[in-house]
Amino acid sequence: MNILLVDDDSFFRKFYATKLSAHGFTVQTVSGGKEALEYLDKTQPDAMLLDLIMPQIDGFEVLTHVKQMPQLAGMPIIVFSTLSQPQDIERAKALGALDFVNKSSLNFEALVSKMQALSKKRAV
Amino acid sequence: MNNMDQSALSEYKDLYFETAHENLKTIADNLAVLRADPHNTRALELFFTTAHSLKGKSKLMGYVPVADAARLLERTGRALQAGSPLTQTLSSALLETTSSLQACVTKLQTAGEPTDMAQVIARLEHESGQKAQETL
Repeated sequence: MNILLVDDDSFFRKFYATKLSAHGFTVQTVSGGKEALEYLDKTQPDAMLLDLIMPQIDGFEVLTHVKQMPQLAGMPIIVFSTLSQPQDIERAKALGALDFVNKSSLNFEALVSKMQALSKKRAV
Repeated sequence: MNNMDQSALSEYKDLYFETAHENLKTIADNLAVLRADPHNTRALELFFTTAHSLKGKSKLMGYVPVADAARLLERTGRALQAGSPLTQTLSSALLETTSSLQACVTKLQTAGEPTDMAQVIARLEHESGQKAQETL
């Protein structure tokens, strides 16, 4: 399963890319919304992990753009949040995000389970 | 994989400190811009999004005082973005908190323990009307 991980912080990019790769996922990382949209214009990953709070083009804007890209219809998007702003999660879901994970939680298993469930769904 | 514990995070300490110092420099640089030009939207955005990043990774690593102070910076930045004024006393408290955070992260890195942030956090809470503690 190919995952696009979008986060402006290099710590989270490296941390989660390493962890997910160890579980057999192929992870491509980009550092912002602009880079994500450029990547998605050329490539269709199986899923996207998207940070919301980023400078310039934030996660909400990425979600808005993705909605207008028919080739990405059905691509599951999981919002990467620190749960500081619950209203952000609701707004992201209204824009098409499927689910969210708390990226500051030590419960990495929850993220892996969600990604594995998505992978199985896509394989059916 | 079971839930991670702190020992599983130890291999990420170097990356944490490297990026935390970068974050704090970005926060300090953009605070300096805001003190001269409080309506600089780009500096304000970088100020609070970087504080948001620092908060998240500090919480993940278990560095609670750093996460709390960074959360307070983020919330104060969001309030400024929403139109709250950057008064002289608030500006001074933000500067003090940022400097104390830099010292705190350095002490965590070199001595393995944080400095006491309680006083500067209390002052910034008072000046900003925001809270450092997680509300969820």
